[in-house]
Amino acid sequence: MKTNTKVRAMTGLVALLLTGCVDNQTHPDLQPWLPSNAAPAGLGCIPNLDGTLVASELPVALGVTARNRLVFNRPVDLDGGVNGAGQRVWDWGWTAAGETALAVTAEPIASKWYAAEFPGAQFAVAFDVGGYLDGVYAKESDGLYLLGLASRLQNPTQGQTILRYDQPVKTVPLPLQVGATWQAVGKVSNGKLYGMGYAGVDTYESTADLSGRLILPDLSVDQAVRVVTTVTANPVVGQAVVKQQVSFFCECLGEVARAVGNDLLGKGQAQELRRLAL
Amino acid sequence: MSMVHRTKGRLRTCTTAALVATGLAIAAAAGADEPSYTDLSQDIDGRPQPWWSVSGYFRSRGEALYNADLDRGLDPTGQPLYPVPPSSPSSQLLTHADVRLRTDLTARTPRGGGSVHLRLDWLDGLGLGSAPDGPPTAATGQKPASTAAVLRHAYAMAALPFGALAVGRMSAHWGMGMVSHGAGDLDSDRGDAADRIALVSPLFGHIVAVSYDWSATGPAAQRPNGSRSIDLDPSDDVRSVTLAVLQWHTEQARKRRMKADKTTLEYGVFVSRRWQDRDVPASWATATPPAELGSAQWVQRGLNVYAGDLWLKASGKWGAVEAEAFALTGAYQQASLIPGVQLRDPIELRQLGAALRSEFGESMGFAAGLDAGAASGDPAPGVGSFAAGTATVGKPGTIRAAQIDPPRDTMLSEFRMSPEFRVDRILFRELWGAVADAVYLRPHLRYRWAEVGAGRLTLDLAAIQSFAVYAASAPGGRQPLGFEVDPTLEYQTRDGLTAALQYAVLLPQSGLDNPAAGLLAKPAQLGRVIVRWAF
Repeated sequence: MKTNTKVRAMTGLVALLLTGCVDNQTHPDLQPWLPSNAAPAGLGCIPNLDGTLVASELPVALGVTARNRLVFNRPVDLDGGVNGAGQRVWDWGWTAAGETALAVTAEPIASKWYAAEFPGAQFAVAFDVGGYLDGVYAKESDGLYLLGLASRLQNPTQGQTILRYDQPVKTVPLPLQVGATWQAVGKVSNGKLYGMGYAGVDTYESTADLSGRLILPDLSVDQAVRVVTTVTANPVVGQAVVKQQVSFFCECLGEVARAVGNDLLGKGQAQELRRLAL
Repeated sequence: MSMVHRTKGRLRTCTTAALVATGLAIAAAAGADEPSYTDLSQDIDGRPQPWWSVSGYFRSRGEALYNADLDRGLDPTGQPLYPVPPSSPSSQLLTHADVRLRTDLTARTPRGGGSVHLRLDWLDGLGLGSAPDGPPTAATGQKPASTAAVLRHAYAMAALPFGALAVGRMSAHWGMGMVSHGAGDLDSDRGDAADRIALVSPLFGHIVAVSYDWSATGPAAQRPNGSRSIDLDPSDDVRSVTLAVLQWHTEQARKRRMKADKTTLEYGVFVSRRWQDRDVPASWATATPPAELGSAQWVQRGLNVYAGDLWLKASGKWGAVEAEAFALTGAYQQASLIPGVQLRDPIELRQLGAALRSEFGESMGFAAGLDAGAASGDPAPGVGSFAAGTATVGKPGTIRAAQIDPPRDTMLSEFRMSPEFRVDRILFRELWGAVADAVYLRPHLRYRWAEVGAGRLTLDLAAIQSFAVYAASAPGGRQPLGFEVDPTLEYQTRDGLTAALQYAVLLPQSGLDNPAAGLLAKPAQLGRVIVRWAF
């Protein structure tokens, strides 16, 4: 035992013998040992792998951070291949130089400065990798809806953004299964983009067209549903902008991979690629 | 030369001992209670026995813990080290009192060729005053216990020409109890038991035992006629096989040899394998919403674990020295608990444990010895002793956390000794849950103070210095954990009454501090009274 440890031990003993009750300096409000506070020991959502993603298999875990691998500007195999068992396989298990980690957390809307602007909103998730924009969402029994976008900070240096859709845009229908096709239109009036006035119409056209096994660097999922979305943003002033996105969803984990690009479907070149990691 | 060849009765004694000894908890598993070696062996040691017998005890305990959370604040997950009284920050006292009635029932065949054993613990761990019948202030009684009795063991033995065969749920205790412990001590709570079939034979002057354990059988279904259940799928079974060889003596034999001034050498070794092909997490972990057990719920596991243990004991008039060493290696080829999701990397298991116990001078009325032990650790923050299988990975300073973090950490090297293998009263028993990721030294003294009435008064004093194997796993980020002093005053009569007054003070060291909050851990105390009437 080191000398200072001995001194501490003796000091502790003397203090123990000389002192009476001392306040607990960090009295917790909640303890896991109290029956009512016992953490639910378990798995939460368990996939049944029936090929259909229902509302209970798309849980929104507020405050839980999902780690993603993020890489920019690289070709990506969107179609995959078919293995000997007839199952489609996308091998996105490669690692790339320049990969960074992206933490994605669903946060309760009540804590956000823009909460009052989005009645019916439930939670917000970072929309861009730079952390400037939040997507504002609500999950209903028939789908996951995007209510609009807002800058994470009320007064960022880039200028404030707040874009409210007149109607929530369905980004994921529930239940979700291969063959589903949906379209949604979001109109923005009196919005603000980077501190400037904005109005326009965003059109979302999506289809869930394939399912199969998706291999990621740290894990693989046996039953991933591929969702292809084309978003066309038509501002009242200026040129239309088209973005394409390919996402993979799986039961209970939600979106496990996403590729985004201007001509993603044509050239297979992703401007941004994120993959769920451990 | 072993005595196993000499008489049929003694053969049965030794085979029974080996049967008990083959109890193996691979990894740090299992849970139940035990009759100790001698309890069982005396039952069929060749002496005339009644066709049935009942033994057991009634035990009552009361205890008080003061500052068990060490006033070291909350860990990064916002949790204290130990429960604290919710009502007031100034309150530091926790109390508990409970009782247990243990009954061991044995029935024997008329000619001694077989026996059936049953252990029932009545009102086990029942907290006194825990079930007031009505509003607490107006209660005039207690509600009946929802579970009046817990079945610990139920097994049968048969003496065959080539050994003894035992089948049923039986004690699992090996060596010093470091790996698997039958929990037959004065202050034991739960011990290990196994659902097992075992064949025990004398061979080459030793006892050789082979056992097969139904460690877990997975989901079962009711048969169409409703009479009983049936295991739904053999592929999800966890199975264990053990081969043990040992040289062992009964307590009576040890005493005889001691009187003859002989040193008695005993030893044992086992090797064991546990494996599981598939797993059904939805059958043992809760899910929201509850999962239906379709084919998708059977996930690949690929568990394959090998374990080995060596136990040695030498005893005589001079005292006793006992040592045990344990090693485990293996892997989970697939550790994912989520159907349809596979982790890229397997989880490797490499665990080591060792313990030493010694005592010298008992015959002089004053004994002293040194105990020591080590359980391999893992640099991951926290210890996994209390953490459930679904526990999350901890940050530095976390007290309890998962010990793997794939793909960054795929090696599970923290060894947890049996929680019933007690070396102290506060740090490992209450706060850590068991000796895990730690090294300890335990010098101790015992003084036979006086003969009082029909009994003997004994004074015990033990001092335990504990260290974390990895500083990173200690919540304070340093290796020294604490220095504990455990004195005991015990009175034991010849007709079965034991009363013990125990005290403990833990002087925590830097490994239990909370540097993130700038708080030093403060001493904790424990007082306990145990009274046991054996019959």
